[in-house]
Amino acid sequence: MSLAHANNAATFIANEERTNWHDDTLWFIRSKRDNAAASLPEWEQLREIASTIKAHTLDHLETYLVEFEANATKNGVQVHWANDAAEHNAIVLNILNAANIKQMVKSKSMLTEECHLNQYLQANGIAVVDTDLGERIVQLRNEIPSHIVLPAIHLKKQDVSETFHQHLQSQKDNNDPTYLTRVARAHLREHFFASKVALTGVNFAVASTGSIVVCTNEGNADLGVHTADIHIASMGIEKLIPKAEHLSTFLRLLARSATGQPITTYSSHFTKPQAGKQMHVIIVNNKRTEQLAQDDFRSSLKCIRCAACFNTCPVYRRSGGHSYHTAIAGPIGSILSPNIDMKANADLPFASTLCGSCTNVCPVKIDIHNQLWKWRQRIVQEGYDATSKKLAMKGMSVVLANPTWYRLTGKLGRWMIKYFPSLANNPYLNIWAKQRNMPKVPDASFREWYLKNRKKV
Amino acid sequence: MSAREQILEAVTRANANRNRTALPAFSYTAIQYRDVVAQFTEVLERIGAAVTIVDSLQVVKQWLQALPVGKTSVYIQPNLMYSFDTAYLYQVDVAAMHGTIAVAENGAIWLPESNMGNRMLPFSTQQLVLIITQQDIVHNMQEAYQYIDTSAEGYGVFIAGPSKTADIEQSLVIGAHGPIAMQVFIIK
Amino acid sequence: MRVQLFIPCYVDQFFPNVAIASLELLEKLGCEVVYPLHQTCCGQPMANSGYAHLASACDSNFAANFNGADYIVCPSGSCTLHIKEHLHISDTTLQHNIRKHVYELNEFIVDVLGVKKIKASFPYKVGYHASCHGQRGLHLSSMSELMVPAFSKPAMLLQSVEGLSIYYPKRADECCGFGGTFCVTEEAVSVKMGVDRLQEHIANGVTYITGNDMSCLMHLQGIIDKQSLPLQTIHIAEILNKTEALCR
Repeated sequence: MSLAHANNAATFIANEERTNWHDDTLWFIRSKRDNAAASLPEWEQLREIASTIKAHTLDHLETYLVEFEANATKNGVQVHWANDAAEHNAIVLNILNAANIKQMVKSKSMLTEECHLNQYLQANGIAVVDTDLGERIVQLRNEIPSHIVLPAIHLKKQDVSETFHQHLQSQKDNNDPTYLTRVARAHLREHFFASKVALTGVNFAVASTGSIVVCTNEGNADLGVHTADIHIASMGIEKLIPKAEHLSTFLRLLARSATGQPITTYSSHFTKPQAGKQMHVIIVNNKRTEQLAQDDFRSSLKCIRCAACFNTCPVYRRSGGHSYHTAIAGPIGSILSPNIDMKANADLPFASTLCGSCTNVCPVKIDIHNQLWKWRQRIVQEGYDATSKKLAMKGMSVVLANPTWYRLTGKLGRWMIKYFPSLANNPYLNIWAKQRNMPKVPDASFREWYLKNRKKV
Repeated sequence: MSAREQILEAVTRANANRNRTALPAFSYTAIQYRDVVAQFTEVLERIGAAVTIVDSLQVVKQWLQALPVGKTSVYIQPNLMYSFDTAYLYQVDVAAMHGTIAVAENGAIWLPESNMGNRMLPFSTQQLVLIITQQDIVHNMQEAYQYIDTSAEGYGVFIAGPSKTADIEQSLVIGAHGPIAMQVFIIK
Repeated sequence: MRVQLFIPCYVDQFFPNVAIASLELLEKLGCEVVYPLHQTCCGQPMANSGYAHLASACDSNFAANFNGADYIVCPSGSCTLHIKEHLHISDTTLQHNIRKHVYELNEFIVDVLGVKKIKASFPYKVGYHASCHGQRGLHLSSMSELMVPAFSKPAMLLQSVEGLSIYYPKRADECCGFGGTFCVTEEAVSVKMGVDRLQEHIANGVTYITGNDMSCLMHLQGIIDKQSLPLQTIHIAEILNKTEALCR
């Protein structure tokens, strides 16, 4: 798959019917978010408060991390620290090996996607079963999730039916979602009951109590953890919030922003391991401290992973999550991923018209579109932009700085389009002209009109 | 340097010389409803739970006793220690437990570990029955967190309806991995 | 009141009628309008492509044309926003004054001149396109994402035009897909976004689509012309300028 979002997007859009379906489906989720937001008169105040709590937490993160660790440890939780993905993965493997366990169930954790945990464990002889229905579907298909909340949003029920028929022996061509969900329920129940280790993500980590909170609709995180002997919870350093009472703000915003529900079915607060069982929390950096150190980009760490920005983004809806070739797609992914690997993700901040819709649906008020703009400056300055574009821009900067050059170039351009329309409208020479006509050429520029009709010399 | 030291040092460095943001004042009015019971019931029914208002706990127990003969059902007394066989837990059809706080804005009920009998039970049962009293219903989450200490016990969960998923082409299916049905009894 | 007219580069070159309409409209509203003759471009195409660091000469040329004392009025939300947020010159006082005095045409008419009605006549069904930078950047109108009371300065002016019926697309403020160099670097998505916008306006049966940014309209018109679609774009200045006499 090409690393250029634009190429991937063009491939996606070539199937117009599917693009329309994908776009309509996600727009509908955006509308549900709007209705949910409108139902709370205090919505905009909640966003402001959530944003400030997160900004405060990041500003004092060193204190809250230590406080969380102390309280969790007091509760009998084993706290681990991992500076990068490799360390995180090794810690997970060590826990499994220490208990001599070869299989694990996992509920949704975008952090583990970022760390490529599944592949690492599989390479080390551990079977991992993703238990969120959307994630299990993509796992069986050997794909990555295309959306952080709705992993299989890019698939139609026929696709799911084919996958389940192939891997789970479900009835051929039975596309009924209820039937397919029941098939997955029975299949995953076997895995829940057989697995002694369960890994979850963390939506919020409460410093004052040492607790972690996991939000799901399916009940897979809880069922996995409570049927297991060992609970591993992986979290990025930015998941901290200071106090339990702050959860009231975040839990009111999270599901409404994500899917338009007032709350997820389960908001599970894990504080102590069950008697006789183990609970581990792995606190992961993986370059988040580098993001934190940049004034321009540190506020992106406020993200609570609701994906409202995905659902509202006109580009995401028409290009699909896989076009972004990272664990986290969409607008927030485009301001997080260049920090992790600038070269591989240099195209992402440009996959946007900077319309600003994302910034205004974000429950924690991250100025996403401004950060996209700033990443563009950084990427160009680091030399990751195409040479041809560099040259064109250099040329443009010279022409636009000089009124005479500007007027000459403009006149030449108009003349070319007027007298050589076939060249100007040639889609091979002019990308604009592939699906659009060039503008009609006026007889004179405004300046020329002004000089003739208005300027008294 | 351990990973812990590296991370804390990097965070400290990133935060040095900053104007640090203070915690905000919670100076807003969270939503209030004219009729919390009606709001709570409406939201819960919309998310796929059945809601019944009853006069007493006795009515609930009678309901449990009247369940069809083949069904394995269990009533959990709050704050009691239970010792369940895992195999039994996998078979339970109906499990009834007491919630402590209920939230009108979203239909959620707080279920602390001490009311579950076993942490697995609220999830492994096919149908979950939650029992609350009318006075347990508060308007919104802000109020709810004032009444509960979510870390007083090792585990607790806000439960809002039966488990569900819309992961297959956005079609809502009630009953994913947790209970496929939920019945809430509100004792007057 | 003296106003310096700031005309986007592509409007100067390809859509002089928009500039002429802006000039005439401001004069009818009682302004003395001057057009600084050596302006070129605000620099946005470079800056949005990651080349803000190459814009200093362009910025200097801009500042050499505008004195920062008079109002600077521009018939484009995105160019106005760019100057407001990204003009960088060594004379920081002038920079501050220019940024303070630059206004998009509609917001100038409503907020500075205090005009809420235009006595113009345009008896057509007109689709409203909420250009993103003007809306979300300059707050020319409220946006669907925020839970705030609805308002729209451009729509208010349009609603006062005689015979004009205003129609909103179903997705009232979805981006048209132009996005500067995005229109060619992500050509497939750009055009698809434009096509989708147009479908919604066609479904409303409008004769015209209007907005405050010619870049959006140029992109939509390009698709309209290629596909021979049954509607036309027109800049809001041209509609508001269709007056004989004027009253406040």
